[in-house]
Formats: sequence, C-alpha cells, structure tokens
Amino acid sequence: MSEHDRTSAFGAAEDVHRLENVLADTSASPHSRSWLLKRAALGVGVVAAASPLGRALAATGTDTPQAVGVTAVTAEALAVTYLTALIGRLGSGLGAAEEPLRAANQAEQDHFAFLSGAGFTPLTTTFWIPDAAFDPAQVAATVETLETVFVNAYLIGVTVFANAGSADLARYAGEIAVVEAEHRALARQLQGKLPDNLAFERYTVGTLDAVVGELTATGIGFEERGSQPGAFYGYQGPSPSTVVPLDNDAPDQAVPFPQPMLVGATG
Amino acid sequence: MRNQPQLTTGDVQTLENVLDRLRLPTLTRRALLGTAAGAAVSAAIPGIAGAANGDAVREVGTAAVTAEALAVTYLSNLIRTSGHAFPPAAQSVLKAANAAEQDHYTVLHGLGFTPLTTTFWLPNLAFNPRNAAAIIEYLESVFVNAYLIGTTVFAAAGNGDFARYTVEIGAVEAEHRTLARVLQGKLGDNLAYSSYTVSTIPQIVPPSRNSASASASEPTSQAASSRTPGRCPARPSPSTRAGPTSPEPAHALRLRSPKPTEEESP
Repeated sequence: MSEHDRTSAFGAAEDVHRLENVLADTSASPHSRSWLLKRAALGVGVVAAASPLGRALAATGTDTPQAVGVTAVTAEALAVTYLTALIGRLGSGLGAAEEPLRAANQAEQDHFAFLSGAGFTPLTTTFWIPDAAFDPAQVAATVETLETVFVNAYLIGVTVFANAGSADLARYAGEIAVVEAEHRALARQLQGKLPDNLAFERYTVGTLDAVVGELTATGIGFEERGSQPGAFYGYQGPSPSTVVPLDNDAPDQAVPFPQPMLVGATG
Repeated sequence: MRNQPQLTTGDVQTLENVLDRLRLPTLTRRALLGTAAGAAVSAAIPGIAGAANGDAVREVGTAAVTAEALAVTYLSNLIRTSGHAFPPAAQSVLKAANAAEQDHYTVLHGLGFTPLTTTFWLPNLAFNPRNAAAIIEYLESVFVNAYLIGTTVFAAAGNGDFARYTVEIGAVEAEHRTLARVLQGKLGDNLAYSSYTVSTIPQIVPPSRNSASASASEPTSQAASSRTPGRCPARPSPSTRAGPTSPEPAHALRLRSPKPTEEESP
C-alpha cells in the first residue's frame, strides 16, 4: 500500500470526519471549510498541527520510524508524569486502583527507558495536565482514554515498522501495545464497565499527528497550556513509592508460561 | 467472490471500526467481517504466498485459527457447564471473551486459514470453576506469544496491515490474560512488555500434531478416564472428542495437584 493509499485510507475516514465535526461547531465559511476538509483528506492533520508536537510531526509529512519513536517516548514521558503525580497526590485514596496504577507507572517508565535508550528523545517533557485528571472519580476514565490512544499509537508503530520490514521493532511495538491494552481493560473494570469489550483493539486513527490531536482534545498540552483548567508538570521519573516491581522490564524478556496448579488433579 | 469490489486490508480495518460504532447484531457483524476479510484476501494472500516466508505466514495463520477454535470450544463449554458458578461480572467477562475469540476465528477463517483440527480433548478439570481462571491465564499467555510470532513473521514480509492485525488480536488476548489473573487475586498488569517466551510456532504446537488432534492441554491418566469430553457449541461447530495420547510438547498444560491435595469433582 503506497503512502498516499495508507494516508487516504484513514485520513479520509477519520480525520475528515473529526474535522467536519469541529467545523460544524464553528462559523467557518463554506470556502474555508471545503479547503480545510480537502487538506485533512490529504492527511495533513490540520487539527492536530496546532501543538508543538503536532507541528513537528506534521513537518515530517509522513509517519516514519523516527517519528514513531519520538512520539512514543514523548507519550511515555507524559504517562509517567501523570501517573507519578496522581499516585503521589492521592496514594491510598485510590483504593483498589492504587496497585495496578503503580504497576502501570512502572511499565510506562520501562517503556520510556527502552525508547530513550534506543536514542529517541522526547519532543518535550513538560505537559499541561487538566485538574480533572486528578479527580478520584475521573481517574479510571482518564486512564482508559489515554491507554486507548496509546494502543492506537503503538498500532501505528507496528504498521510503520512492519512496512519497513523491521520485524523486531514491529514486535517490540506490539509488546508495548499489548501492555497498554491491559491497562485499558483494568481501567474499564475499575469503572464497573465490561473490561473486555473489544474483539480487536481500536485503530481509529492512522497517523501520529491525529494521535496527538486525540490527546490534546482531552485537555492535555505539550509544552503549552491545554484546553482545560490545569497546570504544567515536568517529567522527573517515578518515585519509588509510585511504582511496584514487575515480572519483566525490557522487550523480548521472556517470562515462563504460567503453570496452573489445578484443584482435583493427581500426579 | 466474482463481481465483488477489490477490498484492501485497510477497508477491512475501516469496516471493523464502523461496525464497532454501529453496534450491529453480533451475527450480522460477524458475517460482514468474514465476507470482507475473504474479499481482502485476494489482494493480500498472493503477495503473502509469494513472499520469501510464505510458509511461515501460513504456519502462523493456521496455528492462530486453530487456537481460536480451541478457545471458543473451551469457553463455550465452560460457560454452558459452569457459568452459573461464577459471579455475574465474571460471567460477562467470559462471554465477552468467547465472543471475541469467535470474531477472531471468523476473520482468520475468512482470510483463508484452515484449522489443523476442530477436535480437542478438554480435561474435565478445566471445567471446574476453581481452575478456569488459571487455565485461561495459561492459554491466553500462549496465544499472545503466538500472535507476536505472527507480528514478527508479517513484519518480516513487509506487510504492515497484517502485522497490525496480529497485535490488534494479541492485545485482546492479553486483556483476557490480565482479567484471568485478577480473578485469581493476582496483580493483573504484572508485565512491562508482553512476554515473548518462545519464537516459533512449533515450540507451541509441535509438528507431530499437524496430522493429529491439536491441543493446548494434555490429558493425564485422570483426564483420560473422564467420561465427559468437551462438546462443541452449536455456533461455531468445531467438534470435540477424545484424542490420541502423544508426548507432551514443552509447554503443554500440566495438571498438578496443589498442596495440600484436595478431592474435587468437576
């Protein structure tokens, strides 16, 4: 599939739809609306290009392995920054969510460590995080939203690496995407929702700048104020009290298949 | 498939997204996905078959569709025979997982992959509600690994869409793994990276099983004396019956007694 085909397959389906919704809420003239929609259909990602990260990604003109790595490490820095602040602020007030969130924070930090060790530098480590994200009643929903976007982002990574014939990198992106999906399911369960509501993980956007657009739509800002009341937070890595040890910490780090101890078995 | 428009794998993805939003009845959704996947195969499979690792692709696809048939067979029978013993929330999780496995089977079958077998030996112990979560955790861990092998194979063939599909499915299997762990009182998200314990399909399903009943679980002397092998559900209809004994593969499900030993009937 050519780059244009790949872009048009998703840009036309999703970016245009999203842009159409945005324009419907504005007083954009029919001429402007038509021009913007055509640009979106070409995969320019006009809506998402407003943030520094979005502009940087849009400037590449395509989703390259480099863009994937940079976006991923930036997203992981965001995740660690948010979860560290959240757990540090609410602690045991998170109730049943505390331990899985600490585990998730450790996983996101492990992702960041691998990606930065591979040479990818975050476009920013300063994030605007909405105050609502720290409301105990909204934490699980916030995590579900973020993880859903992260899964989509890593699916883009799998696609990009695979199209480039980079089998190992595609698998690494898959190994991370899988874990983000686990976080998504747990976040749903914490809200009393059916946790395993999908047969196939969501791949609703096909470009990284659209992923950024989805994140900024939640009120998050990358090195600039977001659209919701909040504050700036800087990535500093997790504190020990905000993480728990995991059973692995790097790609392809094998964990033995669990051997069930079954009730009623003999021998 | 004559006179049908040429669908790409991207079209199948878009259809999946749209169907998900429309919340169509399950049977309608599955029928549409299966048809779309089949139509897309005309564009995808020739390229795959002609790729240098075409055999590896077929091996992965065959293993996957077989595993999905196993999963549906097991979960359908578990829900039917023991579902009432689970809390309502757990019942919903099991049913949703079963629906997902069936969707996976439908798409894979529609892509042209045929199961090695639809006949599975399922020990009665697997239907004990106290054992089910541990078994599901094991099976899903293996399935996730298998799909990551698929990711690797399709990526090596330069096929981004199919590589992505394997992760879209594998990640859902991982969600099932996580939930199975939670049901056992374990930390659900215990991994930073999904485990890639084995790197080849034969390490999961030995070649000796290619012509015999494939099974992710291995009968013990106790299970072999069980009188109630798993029965296939009406939809889909992979049949279940007693299978031949053979040497256990390295990662076969082993039935062990816990300490202290308990007498328990399924």
